[in-house]
Amino acid sequence: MSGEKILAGVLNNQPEKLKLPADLKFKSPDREELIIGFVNVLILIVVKMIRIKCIEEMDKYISDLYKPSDRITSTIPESAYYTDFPMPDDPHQFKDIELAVLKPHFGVAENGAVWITEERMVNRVLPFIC
Amino acid sequence: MSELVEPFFSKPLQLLNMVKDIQIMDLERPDECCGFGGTFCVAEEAVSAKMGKDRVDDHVKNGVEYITSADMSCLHMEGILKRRGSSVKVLHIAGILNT
Amino acid sequence: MSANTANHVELSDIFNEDEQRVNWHDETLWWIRAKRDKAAFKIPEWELLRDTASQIKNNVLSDLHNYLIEFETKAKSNGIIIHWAADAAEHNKIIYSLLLRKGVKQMVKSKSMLTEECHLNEYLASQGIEVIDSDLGERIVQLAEEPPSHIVLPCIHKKKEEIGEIFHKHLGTEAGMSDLQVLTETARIHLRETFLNRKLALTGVNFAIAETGEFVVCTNEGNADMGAHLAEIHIANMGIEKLVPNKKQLGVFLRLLTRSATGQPITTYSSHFKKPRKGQEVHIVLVDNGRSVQLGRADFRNSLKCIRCGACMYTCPVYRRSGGHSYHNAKSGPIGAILAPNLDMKKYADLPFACILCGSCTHVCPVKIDIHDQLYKWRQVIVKEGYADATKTVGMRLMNLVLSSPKMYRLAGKIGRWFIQYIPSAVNTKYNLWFKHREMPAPPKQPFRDWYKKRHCLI
Repeated sequence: MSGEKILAGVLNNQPEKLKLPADLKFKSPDREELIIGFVNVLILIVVKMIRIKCIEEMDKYISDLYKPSDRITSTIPESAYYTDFPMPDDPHQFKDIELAVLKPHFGVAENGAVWITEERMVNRVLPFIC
Repeated sequence: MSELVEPFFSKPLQLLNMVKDIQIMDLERPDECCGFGGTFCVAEEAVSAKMGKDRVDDHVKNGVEYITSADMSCLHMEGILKRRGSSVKVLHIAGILNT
Repeated sequence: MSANTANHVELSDIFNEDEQRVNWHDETLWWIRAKRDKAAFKIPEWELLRDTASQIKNNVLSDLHNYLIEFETKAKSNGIIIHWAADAAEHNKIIYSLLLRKGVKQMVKSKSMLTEECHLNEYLASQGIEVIDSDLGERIVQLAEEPPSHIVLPCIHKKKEEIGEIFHKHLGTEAGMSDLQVLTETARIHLRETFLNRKLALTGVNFAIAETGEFVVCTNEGNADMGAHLAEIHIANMGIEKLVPNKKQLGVFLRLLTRSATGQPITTYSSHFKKPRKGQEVHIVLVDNGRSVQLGRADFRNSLKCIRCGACMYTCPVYRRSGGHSYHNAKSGPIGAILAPNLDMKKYADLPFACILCGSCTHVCPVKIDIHDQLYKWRQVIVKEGYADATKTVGMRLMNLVLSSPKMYRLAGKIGRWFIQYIPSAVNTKYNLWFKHREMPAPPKQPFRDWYKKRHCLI
């Protein structure tokens, strides 16, 4: 079996074990600095950013931007666009979605990324297909 | 080694800065290779010559009167400059430090 | 010339015939180097990150056997099906057999240098399978029927007007259209149809995590995700060296990868795949294809640390002025030149010599591969094995004779200076490669040795 042969070859040829380096530690800046850092990266990578005080403001922003006929969906229960998706969920059913509104877990100041798990995507294809 | 995220240091530059009345000009690509390389200069002639031309151009457009180097690459750049009849001269760094 | 006789010198000679184009290619790639520098210099601990990543990879290579077993076990417990491929042929057969079993004749693929290495597209085409490359750059070269010229920017050698022509021919855009917005929108619509219709998607793997059995795919276009999340079968292929021990170390690599590749802080998407979605099959193909052999070469095993960022290519002054295709290999540039001879020393004997040993590649490598040292070492291996260029072998032997004897050296110098001074036509000829673009050096009034002796009263 190839697996066994490959593993035998690897075992035979790998060098003497070298230790892993120590985990990197760093001081995290305070919240204000983090927010400024995050915003600056978004500006740099040309991502549009809107600050809101409540979900209603976000819903208004969306309704101003999109036509009533556009199919908009959200996985945020508080949003007017919240959609309870039927299960099982064929990913192809989302092909006409114009806009998906999702809530990530957190943002990263250094690179402007946001982290979101499947649980908050509801369907894995949603962030990509819209 | 402009790729490295560390304070800039150049030994030849440090030495040259000790020479009276010398003015060091900045280049667009501070440490790109000139293309001499040893046998590379004839073994991969097309690329070597193009690298040399580009290196010379970077110096010329930044207003240098002399190009200096710390190895035999001075011959390579001088050869290119002479071919185009340029007034820019080439000196090995030993020649400058020896003045 | 045939692929068998392709060599870097001849191919780069041809590339350099169009100097304007060389300038454009060089400037385009240097611009990416400049972006990379900007991104790297924003991270004060950049060199510490490089060092850490290097040590993590050193650890992985030294314990690869255990990490592979751990990864396989965890991935299987997540519901993923694991396959092992000893070589390119087996890799291709495994993928074909999965297509056959499901009766699938059309496949969508996202960027995978491994599939280039194994020539998967050609193999599948010969079996009547249609493969669409969904990475925009790869789709462009696919339509142009060319191999990619760079591992991260496959069509960097194409100007936008040329891309416009390709789109006009294959995708129906207006003739002469080269507006990037229009071209991108056209490609998006074309590829969207592909994603929605394909039952099987193949992706590469940027990092596989032994601790959890998951794998990470980084894209700017989300094409790996679109393909995988709409397909019934997702196949991910990876070289056996692509492991990272634990999830927490991923942060080190993700901070380095895209900054090194394109100067962006991170790719638009960095997706973690762990379990198949309900009703889906996920397969991982673990590929050796010479990697376990390279692992045993003490001088060259560090090349297996590569995370495929492509920085060594855009920083290489030779690559920028000879183009990816002149390396006649899927992995071009400096990293290609140290990986390819392991697979076929005869075919790729020219590559380690397509280098000026300036070391820029080594300084830019996020995992601190000693690339230029390995290029130098490969030269010695290639010469010993008898694959060096015949002219060069003779030339070097002659040089060795002259340079190892002070008397011979002085004599050669005297003769050379005499010819240059009195019979310049003997050296100023087209047979003297130096003379093609350079004047010969002027003979000095006296050799340095005599000047030095006189100056220091040694005469």
